[in-house]
Amino acid sequence: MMPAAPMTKEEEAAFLRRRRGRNIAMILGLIALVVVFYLITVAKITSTLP
Amino acid sequence: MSDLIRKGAASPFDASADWSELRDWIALLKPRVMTLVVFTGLVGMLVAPGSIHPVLGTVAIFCIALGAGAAGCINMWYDRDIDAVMRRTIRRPIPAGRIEPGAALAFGVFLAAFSVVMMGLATNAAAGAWLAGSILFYVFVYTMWLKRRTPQNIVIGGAAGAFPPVIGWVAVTGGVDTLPLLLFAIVFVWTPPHFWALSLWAHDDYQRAGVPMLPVVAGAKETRRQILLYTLLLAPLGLAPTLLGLAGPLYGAVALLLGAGFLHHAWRVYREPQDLSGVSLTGDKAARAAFRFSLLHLAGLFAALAVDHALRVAGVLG
Repeated sequence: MMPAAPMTKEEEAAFLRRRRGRNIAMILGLIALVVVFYLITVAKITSTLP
Repeated sequence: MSDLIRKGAASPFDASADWSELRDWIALLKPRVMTLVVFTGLVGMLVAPGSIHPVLGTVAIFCIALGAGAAGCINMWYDRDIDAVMRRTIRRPIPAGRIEPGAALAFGVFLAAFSVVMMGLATNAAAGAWLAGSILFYVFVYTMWLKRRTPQNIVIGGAAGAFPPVIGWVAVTGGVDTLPLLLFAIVFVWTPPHFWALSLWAHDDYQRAGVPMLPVVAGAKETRRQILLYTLLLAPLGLAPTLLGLAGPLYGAVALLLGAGFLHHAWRVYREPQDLSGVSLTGDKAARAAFRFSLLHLAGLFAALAVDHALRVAGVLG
Protein backbone atom coordinates (compact mmCIF):
# COMPACT_ATOMS: atom_id res chain seq x y z
CA MET A 1 0.00 0.00 0.00
CA MET A 2 1.30 3.49 -0.90
CA PRO A 3 1.90 5.78 2.09
CA ALA A 4 -0.58 8.70 2.17
CA ALA A 5 0.78 12.02 0.93
CA PRO A 6 1.40 14.47 3.81
CA MET A 7 -1.35 17.05 4.25
CA THR A 8 -0.79 20.69 3.44
CA LYS A 9 -1.35 23.23 6.23
CA GLU A 10 -4.78 24.13 4.83
CA GLU A 11 -5.83 20.49 4.49
CA GLU A 12 -4.67 19.80 8.03
CA ALA A 13 -6.62 22.77 9.38
CA ALA A 14 -9.73 21.69 7.50
CA PHE A 15 -9.31 18.12 8.77
CA LEU A 16 -9.04 19.34 12.34
CA ARG A 17 -12.07 21.60 11.99
CA ARG A 18 -14.11 18.71 10.59
CA ARG A 19 -12.95 16.38 13.34
CA ARG A 20 -13.82 18.95 16.01
CA GLY A 21 -17.30 19.30 14.53
CA ARG A 22 -17.70 15.53 14.53
CA ASN A 23 -16.48 15.25 18.13
CA ILE A 24 -18.88 17.90 19.39
CA ALA A 25 -21.78 16.34 17.48
CA MET A 26 -20.88 12.93 18.95
CA ILE A 27 -20.73 14.14 22.55
CA LEU A 28 -23.98 16.10 22.17
CA GLY A 29 -25.62 13.02 20.64
CA LEU A 30 -24.47 10.82 23.52
CA ILE A 31 -25.65 13.30 26.14
CA ALA A 32 -29.02 13.56 24.36
CA LEU A 33 -29.28 9.77 24.32
CA VAL A 34 -28.64 9.52 28.08
CA VAL A 35 -31.24 12.23 28.76
CA VAL A 36 -33.82 10.60 26.46
CA PHE A 37 -33.39 7.16 28.04
CA TYR A 38 -33.66 8.70 31.51
CA LEU A 39 -36.86 10.55 30.53
CA ILE A 40 -38.38 7.44 28.93
CA THR A 41 -37.69 5.46 32.09
CA VAL A 42 -39.22 8.11 34.35
CA ALA A 43 -42.25 8.49 32.02
CA LYS A 44 -42.78 4.71 31.88
CA ILE A 45 -42.57 4.42 35.67
CA THR A 46 -44.89 7.35 36.38
CA SER A 47 -47.47 6.26 33.80
CA THR A 48 -47.73 2.78 35.38
CA LEU A 49 -48.14 4.10 38.93
CA PRO A 50 -51.68 3.77 40.32
CA MET B 1 -0.60 12.93 15.05
CA SER B 2 1.60 13.96 18.03
CA ASP B 3 2.22 17.16 16.10
CA LEU B 4 -1.49 17.88 16.04
CA ILE B 5 -1.80 17.22 19.78
CA ARG B 6 1.16 19.49 20.57
CA LYS B 7 -0.58 22.30 18.73
CA GLY B 8 -3.54 21.86 21.10
CA ALA B 9 -5.76 21.39 18.07
CA ALA B 10 -7.84 18.60 19.57
CA SER B 11 -9.81 20.78 21.97
CA PRO B 12 -13.38 19.71 21.22
CA PHE B 13 -14.94 23.03 22.23
CA ASP B 14 -12.83 25.15 19.91
CA ALA B 15 -15.16 27.60 18.19
CA SER B 16 -13.60 26.87 14.81
CA ALA B 17 -15.40 23.50 14.46
CA ASP B 18 -16.59 22.90 10.91
CA TRP B 19 -20.37 22.35 10.86
CA SER B 20 -20.67 21.97 7.10
CA GLU B 21 -20.12 18.23 7.44
CA LEU B 22 -22.90 17.99 10.03
CA ARG B 23 -25.20 19.85 7.63
CA ASP B 24 -24.42 17.23 4.99
CA TRP B 25 -25.32 14.38 7.36
CA ILE B 26 -28.58 16.12 8.16
CA ALA B 27 -29.24 16.66 4.44
CA LEU B 28 -29.01 12.86 4.00
CA LEU B 29 -32.14 12.60 6.13
CA LYS B 30 -34.22 14.69 3.67
CA PRO B 31 -35.40 17.12 6.36
CA ARG B 32 -38.02 18.76 4.11
CA VAL B 33 -39.78 15.43 3.52
CA MET B 34 -39.55 14.82 7.25
CA THR B 35 -41.70 17.87 8.05
CA LEU B 36 -44.85 16.43 6.49
CA VAL B 37 -44.12 12.97 7.90
CA VAL B 38 -43.78 14.38 11.42
CA PHE B 39 -46.94 16.44 11.04
CA THR B 40 -49.12 13.57 9.79
CA GLY B 41 -47.66 11.26 12.45
CA LEU B 42 -48.41 13.83 15.14
CA VAL B 43 -52.02 14.21 13.96
CA GLY B 44 -52.44 10.42 13.93
CA MET B 45 -51.33 10.48 17.55
CA LEU B 46 -53.52 13.43 18.55
CA VAL B 47 -56.76 12.01 17.15
CA ALA B 48 -56.22 8.54 18.59
CA PRO B 49 -58.46 7.57 21.51
CA GLY B 50 -56.63 7.37 24.80
CA SER B 51 -53.56 9.22 25.93
CA ILE B 52 -49.82 8.95 25.93
CA HIS B 53 -47.30 10.50 28.32
CA PRO B 54 -46.01 13.71 26.66
CA VAL B 55 -42.40 12.53 26.89
CA LEU B 56 -43.23 9.20 25.26
CA GLY B 57 -45.31 10.98 22.61
CA THR B 58 -42.40 13.29 21.83
CA VAL B 59 -40.03 10.33 21.60
CA ALA B 60 -42.50 8.55 19.29
CA ILE B 61 -42.65 11.57 16.96
CA PHE B 62 -38.86 11.81 17.06
CA CYS B 63 -38.65 8.11 16.11
CA ILE B 64 -41.07 8.59 13.19
CA ALA B 65 -38.90 11.49 11.96
CA LEU B 66 -35.69 9.51 12.45
CA GLY B 67 -37.13 6.42 10.73
CA ALA B 68 -38.24 8.50 7.75
CA GLY B 69 -34.83 10.18 7.67
CA ALA B 70 -33.06 6.81 7.80
CA ALA B 71 -35.15 5.53 4.89
CA GLY B 72 -34.33 8.73 2.95
CA CYS B 73 -30.64 8.26 3.72
CA ILE B 74 -30.61 4.67 2.43
CA ASN B 75 -32.56 5.88 -0.61
CA MET B 76 -29.83 8.47 -1.29
CA TRP B 77 -27.17 5.78 -0.97
CA TYR B 78 -28.97 3.49 -3.43
CA ASP B 79 -29.87 6.26 -5.89
CA ARG B 80 -26.46 7.95 -5.91
CA ASP B 81 -25.93 7.04 -9.57
CA ILE B 82 -29.15 8.65 -10.80
CA ASP B 83 -28.82 11.55 -8.35
CA ALA B 84 -25.53 12.39 -10.06
CA VAL B 85 -27.24 13.00 -13.41
CA MET B 86 -30.31 14.88 -12.21
CA ARG B 87 -30.08 18.66 -11.85
CA ARG B 88 -32.42 18.59 -8.83
CA THR B 89 -30.22 16.13 -6.89
CA ILE B 90 -26.68 16.58 -8.18
CA ARG B 91 -25.67 18.73 -5.19
CA ARG B 92 -26.71 16.09 -2.65
CA PRO B 93 -23.84 15.06 -0.32
CA ILE B 94 -23.10 11.66 -1.93
CA PRO B 95 -23.06 12.60 -5.66
CA ALA B 96 -21.18 15.80 -4.75
CA GLY B 97 -18.49 13.60 -3.13
CA ARG B 98 -18.80 15.13 0.33
CA ILE B 99 -19.91 11.89 2.02
CA GLU B 100 -18.72 8.37 1.24
CA PRO B 101 -21.55 6.08 0.02
CA GLY B 102 -20.63 3.33 2.50
CA ALA B 103 -20.67 5.76 5.41
CA ALA B 104 -24.11 7.04 4.33
CA LEU B 105 -25.46 3.48 4.18
CA ALA B 106 -24.09 2.65 7.63
CA PHE B 107 -25.61 5.87 8.99
CA GLY B 108 -29.01 5.07 7.47
CA VAL B 109 -29.07 1.46 8.69
CA PHE B 110 -27.97 2.50 12.18
CA LEU B 111 -30.64 5.21 12.41
CA ALA B 112 -33.32 2.86 11.07
CA ALA B 113 -32.53 0.21 13.69
CA PHE B 114 -32.17 2.81 16.42
CA SER B 115 -35.53 4.48 15.64
CA VAL B 116 -37.38 1.14 15.59
CA VAL B 117 -35.88 -0.06 18.89
CA MET B 118 -36.48 3.31 20.52
CA MET B 119 -40.11 3.38 19.29
CA GLY B 120 -40.68 -0.11 20.69
CA LEU B 121 -39.16 0.84 24.05
CA ALA B 122 -40.97 4.17 24.40
CA THR B 123 -44.44 3.10 23.18
CA ASN B 124 -45.23 -0.48 22.19
CA ALA B 125 -43.93 -3.31 20.01
CA ALA B 126 -46.71 -2.82 17.43
CA ALA B 127 -45.66 0.79 16.78
CA GLY B 128 -42.05 -0.35 16.40
CA ALA B 129 -43.16 -3.03 13.94
CA TRP B 130 -45.21 -0.52 11.89
CA LEU B 131 -42.24 1.85 11.79
CA ALA B 132 -39.93 -0.99 10.70
CA GLY B 133 -42.47 -1.96 8.02
CA SER B 134 -42.61 1.59 6.67
CA ILE B 135 -38.80 1.83 6.44
CA LEU B 136 -38.48 -1.59 4.79
CA PHE B 137 -41.29 -0.74 2.35
CA TYR B 138 -39.64 2.54 1.33
CA VAL B 139 -36.20 0.99 0.93
CA PHE B 140 -36.97 -2.38 -0.63
CA VAL B 141 -40.35 -1.99 -2.36
CA TYR B 142 -40.15 1.63 -3.54
CA THR B 143 -36.43 2.45 -3.88
CA MET B 144 -34.98 -0.89 -4.96
CA TRP B 145 -37.89 -2.59 -6.70
CA LEU B 146 -40.39 -0.12 -8.17
CA LYS B 147 -38.67 3.21 -8.73
CA ARG B 148 -36.58 2.21 -11.73
CA ARG B 149 -38.96 -0.41 -13.15
CA THR B 150 -42.47 0.94 -13.48
CA PRO B 151 -44.34 4.22 -13.98
CA GLN B 152 -46.55 3.00 -11.13
CA ASN B 153 -43.54 3.52 -8.81
CA ILE B 154 -45.07 6.49 -7.07
CA VAL B 155 -48.55 4.93 -6.88
CA ILE B 156 -47.48 1.86 -4.89
CA GLY B 157 -44.41 3.49 -3.34
CA GLY B 158 -46.64 6.26 -2.03
CA ALA B 159 -47.75 3.86 0.68
CA ALA B 160 -44.41 4.43 2.41
CA GLY B 161 -45.30 8.08 3.05
CA ALA B 162 -48.80 7.09 4.20
CA PHE B 163 -47.61 5.09 7.22
CA PRO B 164 -46.88 7.92 9.74
CA PRO B 165 -50.50 8.67 10.81
CA VAL B 166 -50.99 4.94 11.37
CA ILE B 167 -47.77 4.71 13.37
CA GLY B 168 -48.80 7.72 15.48
CA TRP B 169 -52.18 6.11 16.16
CA VAL B 170 -50.64 2.71 17.03
CA ALA B 171 -48.14 4.40 19.37
CA VAL B 172 -51.11 5.56 21.48
CA THR B 173 -53.56 2.67 21.16
CA GLY B 174 -51.41 -0.35 20.34
CA GLY B 175 -53.75 -1.28 17.45
CA VAL B 176 -55.22 -0.10 14.14
CA ASP B 177 -58.74 1.20 13.47
CA THR B 178 -60.81 2.67 10.63
CA LEU B 179 -59.70 6.31 11.00
CA PRO B 180 -55.93 5.69 10.72
CA LEU B 181 -56.59 3.44 7.72
CA LEU B 182 -58.60 6.26 6.13
CA LEU B 183 -55.73 8.68 6.80
CA PHE B 184 -53.39 6.15 5.21
CA ALA B 185 -55.69 6.00 2.16
CA ILE B 186 -55.85 9.80 1.90
CA VAL B 187 -52.04 10.18 1.85
CA PHE B 188 -51.77 7.17 -0.48
CA VAL B 189 -54.15 8.66 -3.08
CA TRP B 190 -52.74 12.18 -2.58
CA THR B 191 -49.16 11.10 -3.40
CA PRO B 192 -49.47 10.34 -7.17
CA PRO B 193 -51.01 13.70 -8.24
CA HIS B 194 -48.54 15.49 -5.95
CA PHE B 195 -45.46 13.83 -7.49
CA TRP B 196 -46.80 13.74 -11.04
CA ALA B 197 -47.34 17.51 -10.89
CA LEU B 198 -43.65 17.83 -9.97
CA SER B 199 -42.57 15.33 -12.61
CA LEU B 200 -44.33 17.34 -15.34
CA TRP B 201 -41.69 20.03 -15.09
CA ALA B 202 -38.82 17.82 -13.82
CA HIS B 203 -39.48 15.52 -16.81
CA ASP B 204 -36.04 16.10 -18.41
CA ASP B 205 -34.25 15.16 -15.20
CA TYR B 206 -36.11 11.86 -14.86
CA GLN B 207 -35.60 11.06 -18.54
CA ARG B 208 -31.85 11.68 -18.29
CA ALA B 209 -31.66 9.41 -15.24
CA GLY B 210 -33.81 6.72 -16.88
CA VAL B 211 -36.43 6.81 -14.13
CA PRO B 212 -39.74 5.70 -15.68
CA MET B 213 -41.91 8.44 -14.22
CA LEU B 214 -45.32 8.68 -15.87
CA PRO B 215 -44.52 11.71 -18.11
CA VAL B 216 -41.38 9.93 -19.38
CA VAL B 217 -43.17 6.66 -20.19
CA ALA B 218 -46.75 7.67 -21.04
CA GLY B 219 -46.27 11.34 -21.94
CA ALA B 220 -47.42 14.61 -20.40
CA LYS B 221 -50.98 14.34 -21.78
CA GLU B 222 -51.64 11.03 -19.99
CA THR B 223 -50.00 12.38 -16.83
CA ARG B 224 -52.40 15.35 -16.81
CA ARG B 225 -55.33 12.93 -17.17
CA GLN B 226 -54.06 10.72 -14.34
CA ILE B 227 -53.57 13.74 -12.06
CA LEU B 228 -57.20 14.70 -12.66
CA LEU B 229 -58.46 11.12 -12.08
CA TYR B 230 -56.58 10.70 -8.80
CA THR B 231 -57.76 14.11 -7.60
CA LEU B 232 -61.35 13.11 -8.42
CA LEU B 233 -60.84 10.08 -6.19
CA LEU B 234 -59.11 12.08 -3.47
CA ALA B 235 -61.89 14.68 -2.99
CA PRO B 236 -64.56 12.24 -1.72
CA LEU B 237 -61.94 10.22 0.16
CA GLY B 238 -60.97 13.36 2.06
CA LEU B 239 -64.61 13.71 3.14
CA ALA B 240 -64.91 10.08 4.26
CA PRO B 241 -63.92 10.64 7.94
CA THR B 242 -66.88 13.02 8.36
CA LEU B 243 -69.26 10.92 6.28
CA LEU B 244 -68.44 7.88 8.42
CA GLY B 245 -68.89 9.85 11.65
CA LEU B 246 -65.19 9.65 12.57
CA ALA B 247 -64.63 13.41 12.28
CA GLY B 248 -66.86 16.43 12.82
CA PRO B 249 -68.38 19.10 10.56
CA LEU B 250 -65.39 21.45 10.82
CA TYR B 251 -63.12 18.85 9.28
CA GLY B 252 -65.81 18.07 6.69
CA ALA B 253 -66.10 21.73 5.64
CA VAL B 254 -62.30 22.13 5.32
CA ALA B 255 -62.03 18.83 3.42
CA LEU B 256 -64.76 19.98 1.03
CA LEU B 257 -63.01 23.30 0.35
CA LEU B 258 -59.54 21.79 -0.01
CA GLY B 259 -60.83 18.95 -2.20
CA ALA B 260 -62.57 21.46 -4.46
CA GLY B 261 -59.39 23.57 -4.55
CA PHE B 262 -57.21 20.62 -5.54
CA LEU B 263 -59.76 19.59 -8.19
CA HIS B 264 -59.68 23.12 -9.58
CA HIS B 265 -55.87 22.97 -9.82
CA ALA B 266 -55.97 19.49 -11.38
CA TRP B 267 -58.48 20.74 -13.95
CA ARG B 268 -56.18 23.68 -14.76
CA VAL B 269 -53.28 21.24 -15.23
CA TYR B 270 -55.48 19.14 -17.53
CA ARG B 271 -56.62 22.14 -19.57
CA GLU B 272 -53.31 24.04 -19.57
CA PRO B 273 -52.23 25.37 -22.99
CA GLN B 274 -50.08 22.55 -24.39
CA ASP B 275 -48.71 21.16 -27.63
CA LEU B 276 -49.98 17.94 -29.24
CA SER B 277 -47.94 15.72 -26.90
CA GLY B 278 -49.21 17.53 -23.83
CA VAL B 279 -46.05 19.56 -23.12
CA SER B 280 -46.92 22.87 -21.46
CA LEU B 281 -46.67 26.11 -23.43
CA THR B 282 -46.65 28.18 -20.24
CA GLY B 283 -43.60 26.75 -18.44
CA ASP B 284 -45.84 24.35 -16.47
CA LYS B 285 -47.38 27.18 -14.48
CA ALA B 286 -50.49 25.14 -13.67
CA ALA B 287 -48.47 22.07 -12.59
CA ARG B 288 -46.27 24.17 -10.31
CA ALA B 289 -49.36 25.76 -8.74
CA ALA B 290 -50.97 22.33 -8.32
CA PHE B 291 -47.81 21.00 -6.66
CA ARG B 292 -47.76 23.90 -4.18
CA PHE B 293 -51.47 23.53 -3.50
CA SER B 294 -51.13 19.79 -2.90
CA LEU B 295 -48.80 20.51 0.03
CA LEU B 296 -51.29 22.97 1.47
CA HIS B 297 -54.10 20.47 0.84
CA LEU B 298 -52.56 17.67 2.89
CA ALA B 299 -51.31 19.91 5.68
CA GLY B 300 -54.72 21.65 5.81
CA LEU B 301 -56.66 18.37 5.96
CA PHE B 302 -54.58 17.00 8.83
CA ALA B 303 -54.57 20.31 10.71
CA ALA B 304 -58.37 20.51 10.37
CA LEU B 305 -58.71 16.95 11.66
CA ALA B 306 -56.60 17.75 14.74
CA VAL B 307 -58.50 20.99 15.48
CA ASP B 308 -61.86 19.32 14.87
CA HIS B 309 -60.91 16.50 17.24
CA ALA B 310 -59.68 18.94 19.93
CA LEU B 311 -62.92 20.97 19.73
CA ARG B 312 -65.06 17.85 19.89
CA VAL B 313 -63.14 16.56 22.91
CA ALA B 314 -63.55 19.98 24.57
CA GLY B 315 -67.29 19.78 23.86
CA VAL B 316 -67.29 22.86 21.60
CA LEU B 317 -68.40 20.82 18.59
CA GLY B 318 -71.00 18.05 18.86
